[in-house]
Amino acid sequence: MAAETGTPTTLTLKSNDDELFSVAESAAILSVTIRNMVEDGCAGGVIPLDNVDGKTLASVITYMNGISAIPADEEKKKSYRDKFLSDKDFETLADMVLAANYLNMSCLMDAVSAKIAQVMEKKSVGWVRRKFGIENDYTPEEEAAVKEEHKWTFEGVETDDDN
Amino acid sequence: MDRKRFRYVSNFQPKKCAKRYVEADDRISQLPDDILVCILSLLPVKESARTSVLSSRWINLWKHTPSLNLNAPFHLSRWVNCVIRSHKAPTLKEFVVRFTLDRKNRHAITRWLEFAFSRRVEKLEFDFYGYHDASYYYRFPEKFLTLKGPLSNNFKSIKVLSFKCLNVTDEDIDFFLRNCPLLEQLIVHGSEKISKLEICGSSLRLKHLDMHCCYNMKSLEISVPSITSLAVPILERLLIKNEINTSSRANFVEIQFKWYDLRSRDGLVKDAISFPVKDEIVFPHNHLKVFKFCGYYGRTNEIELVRYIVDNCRVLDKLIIDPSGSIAGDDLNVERNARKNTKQQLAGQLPITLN
Repeated sequence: MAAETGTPTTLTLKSNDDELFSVAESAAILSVTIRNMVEDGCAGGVIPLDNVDGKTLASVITYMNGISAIPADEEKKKSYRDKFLSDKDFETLADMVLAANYLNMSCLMDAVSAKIAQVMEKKSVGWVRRKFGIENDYTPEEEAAVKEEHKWTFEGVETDDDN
Repeated sequence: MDRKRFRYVSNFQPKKCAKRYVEADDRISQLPDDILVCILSLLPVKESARTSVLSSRWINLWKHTPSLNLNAPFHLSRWVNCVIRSHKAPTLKEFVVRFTLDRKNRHAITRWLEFAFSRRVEKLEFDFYGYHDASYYYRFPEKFLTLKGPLSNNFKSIKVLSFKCLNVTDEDIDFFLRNCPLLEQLIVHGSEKISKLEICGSSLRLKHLDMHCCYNMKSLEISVPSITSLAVPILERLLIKNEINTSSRANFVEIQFKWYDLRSRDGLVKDAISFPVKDEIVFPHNHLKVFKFCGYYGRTNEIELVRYIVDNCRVLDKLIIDPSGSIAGDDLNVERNARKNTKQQLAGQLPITLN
């Protein structure tokens, strides 16, 4: 539990590949998972995060520090999130969304999900398969049947595969 | 130690979605169902449903998104029907349908309502804009809103109800208020069947009431402790009689008059405005913090109303005078005049600065 000393409390987080990170408690409790540990008094010593690797955890901590430094201004927070995610490739986004889910950080979870959804929006089925490496495991008959069942999803839709 | 994961969907059955092996480098398909559903729920319904064609991993995912937002200019009813036939989430956070109503859609709308209530919807919005003749507006069938039907328990989850361009009646409002204990926002735009509302009850949780463009509304009497904002058309009688406990935090913060509701449907303006300014309007004077007056044009009784508010509402933080949408029309000149009038008339009279 945070000692009432007036100095900021620091937590130590450990990734599943044994990297250790120091982070201010005030930033770390953006994660509900970590906040619950702090509130339950189990945050002394090292907090093991078994589902997050060091590279992803470093990135999440950068986000925690960055977003918690912004005062309550939703516009500024949003623009920080957009900038933070702007240069991330899909592999990194997938790691981040899993980490955000595990750490129970709804703001990061929503932002990364929105970023992935944005990539898929207004794209053809073929484009999404190629972009994400999704293997089409339907037989031609099955695919035709699924397409028929979802015929309404193709009506009046203009895809924009070039961008 | 709590490692509870996000659960966006309850009663979710992952096996149904992944019937085959997923390729090792197909990273997106390896994400857990609840994360993929969360991603899909951020896409328009048509787009999220189209992902079922990607591969067998994706065939059922879209059917579990917690929000359905159906918005299309035309020919919507057929695909709303397709969506509600396929969709499987047991509960819905949101069911929003916006499109231009056609007379033949009436039966379909009743089915959509049944669907939404059967999924214990939290936010229900129907917006059937674009139909100018209100006599064609949808009305709830007489037997629909009863507590004897199979839906009786399903009104309890509703927090937001928004009906735009439907002919909602006083009785319908009464029904929803009595049977939706969690209702926080009630929005009714353009109904011709609202005339006299009495909204009273200490157990109600209503915070926001918006009765924009309900031309036939004559009176509103409201006594709901939780109310924080109110938007009403011109009324003969407005009575806000919250019994506010003096020890509790003041909670009534905003009231909006949408003056331009006076504009009649055929575009003609009723020339005599007879708004009873002082005698029949009762505010919780000591609690009103924001007063917004839309469609201000600078007529004598409008000035009187503003002066009355300023003189009597001691904790007023903000007085917003918005001349746009003035009853005299959409003409820019009219608005410019209204702005000029506002400055000239009010600047000398109010102990505040005007922007």
